[in-house]
Amino acid sequence: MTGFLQVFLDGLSLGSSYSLLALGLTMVFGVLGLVNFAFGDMIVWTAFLAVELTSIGLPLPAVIPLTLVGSVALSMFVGEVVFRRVGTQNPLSLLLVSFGLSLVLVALAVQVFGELALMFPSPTALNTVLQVDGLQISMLSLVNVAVAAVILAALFVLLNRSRLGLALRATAENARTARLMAVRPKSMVRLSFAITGVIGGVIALLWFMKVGTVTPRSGLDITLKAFIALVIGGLGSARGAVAGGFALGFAEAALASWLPVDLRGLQQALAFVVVVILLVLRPQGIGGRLLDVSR
Amino acid sequence: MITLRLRADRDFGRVPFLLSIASPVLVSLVVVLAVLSLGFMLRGQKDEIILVFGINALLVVALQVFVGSTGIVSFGHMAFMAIGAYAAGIVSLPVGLKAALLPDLPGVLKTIELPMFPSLVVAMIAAAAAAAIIGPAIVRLTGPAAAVVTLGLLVIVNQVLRHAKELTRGTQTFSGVPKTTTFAWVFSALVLAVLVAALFKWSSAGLKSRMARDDPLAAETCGVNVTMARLVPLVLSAALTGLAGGLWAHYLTAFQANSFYVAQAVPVIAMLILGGATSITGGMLGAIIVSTWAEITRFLEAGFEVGSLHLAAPRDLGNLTLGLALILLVTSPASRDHGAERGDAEPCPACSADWPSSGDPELEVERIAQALRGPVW
Amino acid sequence: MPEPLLSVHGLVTGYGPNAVVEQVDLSLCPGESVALLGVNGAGKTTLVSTIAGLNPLWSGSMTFRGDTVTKAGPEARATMGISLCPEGRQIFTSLTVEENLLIGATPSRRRRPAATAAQVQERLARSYERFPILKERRHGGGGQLSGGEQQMLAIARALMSAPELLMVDEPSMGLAPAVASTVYGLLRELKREGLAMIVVEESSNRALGLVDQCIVLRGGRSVLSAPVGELPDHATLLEVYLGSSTSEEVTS
Ligand SMILES: Nc1ncnc2c1ncn2[C@@H]1O[C@H](COP(=O)(O)OP(=O)(O)OP(=O)(O)O)[C@@H](O)[C@H]1O
Ligand SMILES: [Mg+2]
Repeated sequence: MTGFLQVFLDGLSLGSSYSLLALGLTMVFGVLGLVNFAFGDMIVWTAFLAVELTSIGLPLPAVIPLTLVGSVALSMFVGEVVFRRVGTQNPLSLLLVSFGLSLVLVALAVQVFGELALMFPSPTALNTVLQVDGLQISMLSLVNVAVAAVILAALFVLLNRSRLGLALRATAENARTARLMAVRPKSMVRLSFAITGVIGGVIALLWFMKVGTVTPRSGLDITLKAFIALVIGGLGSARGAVAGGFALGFAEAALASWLPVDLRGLQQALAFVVVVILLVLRPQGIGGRLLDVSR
Repeated sequence: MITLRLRADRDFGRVPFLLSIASPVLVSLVVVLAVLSLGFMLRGQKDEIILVFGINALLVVALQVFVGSTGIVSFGHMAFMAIGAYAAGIVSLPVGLKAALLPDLPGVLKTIELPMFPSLVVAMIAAAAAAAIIGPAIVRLTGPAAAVVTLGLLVIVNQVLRHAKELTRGTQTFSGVPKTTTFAWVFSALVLAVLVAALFKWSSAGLKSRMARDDPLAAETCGVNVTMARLVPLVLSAALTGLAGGLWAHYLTAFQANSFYVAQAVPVIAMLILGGATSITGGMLGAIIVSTWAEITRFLEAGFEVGSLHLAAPRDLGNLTLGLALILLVTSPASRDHGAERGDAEPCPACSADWPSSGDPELEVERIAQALRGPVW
Repeated sequence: MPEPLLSVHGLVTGYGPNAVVEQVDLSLCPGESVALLGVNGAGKTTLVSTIAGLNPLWSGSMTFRGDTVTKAGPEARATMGISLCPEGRQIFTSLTVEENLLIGATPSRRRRPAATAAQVQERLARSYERFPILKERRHGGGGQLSGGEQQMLAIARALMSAPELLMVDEPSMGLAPAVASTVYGLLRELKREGLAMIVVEESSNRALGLVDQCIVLRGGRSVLSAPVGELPDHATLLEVYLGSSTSEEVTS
């Protein structure tokens, strides 16, 4: 029973990170059709920003908001300068462009920060591990879950209870008709990149506080996780992204604790195997239709 | 797309058919000569460069067979290359070395030591078999989901290779493969691949594939089995990629699972985009440009002396420039105008203040390709 | 002669290299309504989409309430009070019925005060009063409505911005005659309330019963433009409509 609860806790913590990742991707996919291969690398750049801000002596309470602002700025900049210039909403062109962007971001990061891993600022308070009845959970995991809950709730309210959210969903479904309701697709794309930027900033902080170090090549792992969660959930569905993220989180936690030790290295592969099987059974993913695209 | 459809719809006589196959073969030969002379000028180490170029060209032709006839961009073809390389390596490793390096090889694998040709055949078969197994999952999807799953394939194969210690030495370097890849092997493989690709393209199976790519529904109503129409090019393309893997193994002699991962997929995809997804000739040109550029950047990254100064380009210059090229190629006004010209693509609302795009993923690959490729056939 | 609400001069537009609508003139006073008739492919949808701003004008000009809007985008025109109920209804199926209505209420108004939350609620209530069925289904998905209900939702959504000009593209398409009559009953009511309208139909006596003016498009050109009272007899109309005889313009 304790074992099961422990897996549940671990899964919850992992799953909340993965849901945020998948949500970040799905927001932009909904309105622009972009599955952003460079998402992880943008998060890495944001993490480097946090490292740099810390190294010039800023305290964490100042680093956090500045990092978020930086992340939003980066995301909107990339959206404006790279992705909107593609001139089409075609997923394949956009995917290829994001692939190119990923290369550029990694190469530039290697150039600027070097190949060596840099320490990520991580307050000791967050690294304490709470022990209750044989269960272990780190403060950081709790923070992770709490932050994810807040963001999910905020996004839910935004998408379902505000005109802006309605406009975003309407654009995702049918941009042309949404324009007749005075909704500018351009603004919606900007909005989605801004939201993704916030999510990316939060992930950058939480993810690398957990990992402890950041390298220019850390992004691929993040992107892969986000992709798996996204595809499990079904492209373009916000609800699906959340479901997919938690599904991946629980699956990983279960695999980590119940898989024979000599198969541990196959975790990611097994996760993808699950995705493949799932997609064969249900090509549209398990997602609901919250931010669905009819395309 | 337009060119293709017109060519295919017209009654395609024997002479034009032969011509259309002869022209990529000819181009590949011309390209070989060009590379020969170029390699000569560059370093004097012409053999190395030419072999690498040949294998790259083989890779891009193989990838084209799949992308061109299904409209699915694969990020995962390196997986087939890895499988081909390991398969060729395992069956051709000298028995003496096997006892030392791979003591746990199962059964007959332990005692065989195949020469070049059969080992390449094994590489092709292994990759094709892998494609046949994983294929049904990939071909059920389209668009970005399919691309993500091909990436998943690469991750799966990478981790399995790193894990199957008995066969691959896990994360350790797999070494001792006989260095038997020669100019003759590479370029006969390339010509073979070009021939197979061209024959497939104009075969009834190839036409069915392109039909399923352009309009799966319509194809289905015409009695085309869409799954098979995508699976066949996948298996064919995997076999050719496996062949490239085998040649690569016999060229490098030592490699690891991570020698075939996302980073290695990049140049091949760049070649494909540069050359066009459907034109074999274009793919060849893409291969030559990207391979040459890779050589130049490697040279620059290593640095050189100017007088007493040691100049070196930034690390990762190759990837940086490839990435930039990829972005610029797809976002270039040329590739946009091309679509608009045809009247079916309106610019997207999110991009200018304008109108929604046709949003047809399969068309779009063509459009990118068309805008950029050189002569068609 | 009051100042026209909408006036279009020499409008030309099309897709890719092909002009689809050529040299169309149209003028509409407040409260007036016009039927836009023509066979399939005559360019009716293209014309109203262009007036709504979805397609750019290749040449010609357009003013609305005295403002030149030739270059304005659809968002700007929507906020000025032009509303299009598009062909095929284009209901947002991933939004609920109520959300479909809410998205129709454009928040800002050029030269008119923005709709306040109270106004939006008022309009919502008004829509539900007009279409009780929408109220019943308001939390259901927009895609779960029947064709007739979707048409009502589309019109209600177009009305949520309190437009001054309502354009309805083929309101009776695919509807049973009884349902089409309901829809026209509603349009008549809107006309009585003083709303200016452009009603697109392929051919419909219903439409002619509703409007003051009639324009027939053929091959993208306006081949007949006349007040309903001065329309030629049935046979001539048919001829103009189908272009069975000469194609010179008939104007009364
Ligand atoms: N998106 C488009 N791209 C290219 N051509 C188009 C497009 N939409 C319409 N057309 C062409 O423009 C012409 C007019 O089309 P339009 O839809 O305006 O006709 P319509 O009068 O509304 O016909 P219907 O009664 O069938 O709705 C047709 O010949 C059509 O082929
Ligand atoms: Mg129409």
